[in-house]
This record gives sequence, C-alpha cells and structure tokens, in this order.
Amino acid sequence: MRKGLFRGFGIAVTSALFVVACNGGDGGETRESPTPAATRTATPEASPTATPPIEQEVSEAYLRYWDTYAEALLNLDPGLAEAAASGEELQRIREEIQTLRSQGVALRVVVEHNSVVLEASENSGVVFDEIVNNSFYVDPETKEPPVGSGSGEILRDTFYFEKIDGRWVVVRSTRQR
Amino acid sequence: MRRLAIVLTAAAAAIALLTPALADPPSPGDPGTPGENRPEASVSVDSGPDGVTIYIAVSETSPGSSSDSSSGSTTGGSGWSCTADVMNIGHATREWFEQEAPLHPGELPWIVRCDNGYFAIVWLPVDTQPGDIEIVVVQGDSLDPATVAAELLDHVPVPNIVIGVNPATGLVAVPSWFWIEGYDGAPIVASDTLGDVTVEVEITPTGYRWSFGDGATLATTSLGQPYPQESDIRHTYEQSSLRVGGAFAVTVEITFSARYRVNGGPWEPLDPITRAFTAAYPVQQLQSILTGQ
Repeated sequence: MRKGLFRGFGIAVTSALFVVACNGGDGGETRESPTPAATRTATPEASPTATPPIEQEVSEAYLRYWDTYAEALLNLDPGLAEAAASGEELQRIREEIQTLRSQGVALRVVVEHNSVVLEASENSGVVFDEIVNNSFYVDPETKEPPVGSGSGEILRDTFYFEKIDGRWVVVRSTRQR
Repeated sequence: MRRLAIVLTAAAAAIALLTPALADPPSPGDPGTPGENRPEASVSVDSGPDGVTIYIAVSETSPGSSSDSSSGSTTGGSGWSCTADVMNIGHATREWFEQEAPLHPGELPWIVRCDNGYFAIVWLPVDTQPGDIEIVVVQGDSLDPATVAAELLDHVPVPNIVIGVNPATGLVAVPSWFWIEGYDGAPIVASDTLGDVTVEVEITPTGYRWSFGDGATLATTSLGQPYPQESDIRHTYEQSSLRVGGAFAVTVEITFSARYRVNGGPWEPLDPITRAFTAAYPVQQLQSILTGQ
C-alpha cells in the first residue's frame, strides 16, 4: 500500500481513492477498504472542495465497474459485467472469461486503486488508475484458495466511460506499459 | 493547448513488444492479472537537453484504430494526432497527485491526448515546456528499433561547443589560431528503453569543416589545440571585418558518423549527422602611425 505526502503545495492530505476488490464472499466483490490506508488526515490549509457532480458520477461508476467486473471474473459469468460495461469492453471481458474457462480457473480480483478522473463531460468520461494488483487464480467451482500470493505489480489502466441510457458504463479500456 | 509534432510510423516487423508470451496454464493460488487482454500501449519518455520525446508504441487494437472514425484509419492508424499538456492539478486530481508525486521527484504529470481517444499519463521534468516535446507514435504489434534510433539521433546530447581563437581580436596578415572547446572528440552515446528493448545510438566525429567568414574554408580531422599551444587550425585574414559589420562569422561544422544497436547486439549504421557552431570574430587592420620624430 502506498502512501505519499506531497509538500510542494503545502497540502498534507494523504489519502487515496482506495478500493480493494477482494474476497468478500463468493462474489469477489469490490469494496472500499476499511484499513488505515483509507484514513484521511487533513490539515487546516487543505481546503475541502466538493468534487463536481459529473466527476463524482464517473468516479462512482468506476467503482461499480470493478465490483461487477470482479464478480464476473470470479464467477466466470460475463452477464454480471453487463451492468457496468458495454461495447468493446464487454466483448473484452467475455473473451477474458472465455480464456479463464479454457484454462480451468477463475480469478479472484484483489486490487488497490489510485484513480483519477481525467475528463468528464455530460456523456463521456476518462479514468486513469494506477492499480496495485494482487489478484490470484482460484478453482472455478470451490473458489479455493481463499487467499493467494499476488504479484504486487502496478497496472496503469485507462477506462473510457459513456453514459448510455442514463447509465455510466465502460466502453473500452487500455493498459499503459 | 499546443499541437505537437507527430511522427507516425508503420513499423516493420522487428521486435515484438506487445505480444504476450505463451505460458503454462495457471493453477489456483497463482498470481493473476485482471484485464490481461486489454489493448496495450507502451509509453516511454526520452528526456535530454534538446527536449523530450514521448514514444507511444500502440497495438493494432488500441482505441480508435478499429472503430473510432476520427482516426480515419482501421489498419495502420495513420492520422494519429496527439498533444501533451500539464495535468491540471485540481481538486479532482489532488489525491491522485499526492500519491504519485513522491514517486516522481522533480517531475510533473502530463496528459497525452490523441484525437482517436487514446490517453496516457507521463511524468516529465518540471522545466519541460510544450515546445520541447515531440510525440512519436509507432503503430503495430512490433516496434522497429531503427525508428526509435532515428528519433533518438535527433536528441543525442552534443556538448555546447565553443570556438576558441587567439588572438581574441584578429589582425590582418597575422595568423589566427582556432580550436574547439568543450568537447574532446569522444563518441557520444544516447539510449532509450521501450519495454524490454534498449536502443543505443552512438555518434563519432569524423571531420570538422571550418568557415572563417571571409570565404575561406578548411577541412580537418583535428579539434585544434588551445592557446598557448600552436594550433594546426589557422587562418590569415587579408581584410578587416569592418566591411561585414564588425566581425566575421566563424563556423565549424562537425560531421558525426552514427550507428545504433539493440540490447547490446551488433552495431548497425545510421545516416551521418552534422552539427554547426558559430562565433563572431572581429579582425582589425593595423595602422602605422608616424610620430614626426
């Protein structure tokens, strides 16, 4: 878990949009971390500013995406991702699940997010995330083992959102190496 | 927002950067990666005294290349046009910035936006100006190292050479000695790494062509010798510099042979390059003065 303190701006806020998609049951759900890493400590000079509504919407949609995406990979059910993904992204998830099936495994998603909304307009948004990945494969039936040794690798992914029928969904994503 | 120069290259099959390697089937408990089939783009930054080059090696299924009509292409991706801007560190990005900034001391995040929808974040030195940046997009599953080498060649850090001369003010009919200061003639190397591929470029001076500003030239393979040594690069002016605005423009043009190699392999040739350096050199006419004695 990374913590940082940037002093150049006279700000002493050390928190991240920190979400762990982990084993919260059979669903492999994504949830906000209750760990101290999510603790927010603000000094008086850190002015609390509300996130604009659209960015907030995109940010929340992003977390929902990971919720459903993690469920889909754990249960090898692409239908679960349809609530949060569409188009190329949904097709990509289908193919990813097909690959997992062919390998005889499922994936329990364990990730830490450090995401940022790069752009947000009325109908589209872009989220960049530096993800600490500790996901691991499990048996597709028993979902065992409950814990595994993740790689800890950093994934730099960009997610492209569109608002379709009043719902924010990921329509494609890319990985930056 | 400033539009930046783009070099787009359909890469020849050379070194596979983006094709995942085949591996044994995973077992429960093994580490796994969500989104392994996401379209990838390898982003690399080469920062030098002549500016910053952002290399983007994109797979053919990157956003826009298959469905985004703004790219105007479905195969080669021609028409990629990208810009880079300093990220606006506002309230929405503050937390992210606070997390990432300590990992990139002396750098600021820039957002690269391409007109087909592709985004990337790169960290560049704090003194980087938009005009210093060149973005190179390489399309395809393979990256041609020669393309990288050619771009790298433009950014090889040639020292800031100064022309030395004695006397400081020349005299008509008196030989002036010239030499090169600030560079010893040693090969200069620059390198860049994209994924698992490291490209090195080396340039070596092969000749120096002097122009003394009065029409005379001299070709040498010598750097000359600094005063008080007697330099082998010398020129005798026949006229003062008064008629050319007070000083002759003395120029030395250095020709460098160039070559590159990949991952320490054999050297391959590149086209030679030249760099020119100029100094203003006043030359006076000595006048005899009769004292009447």
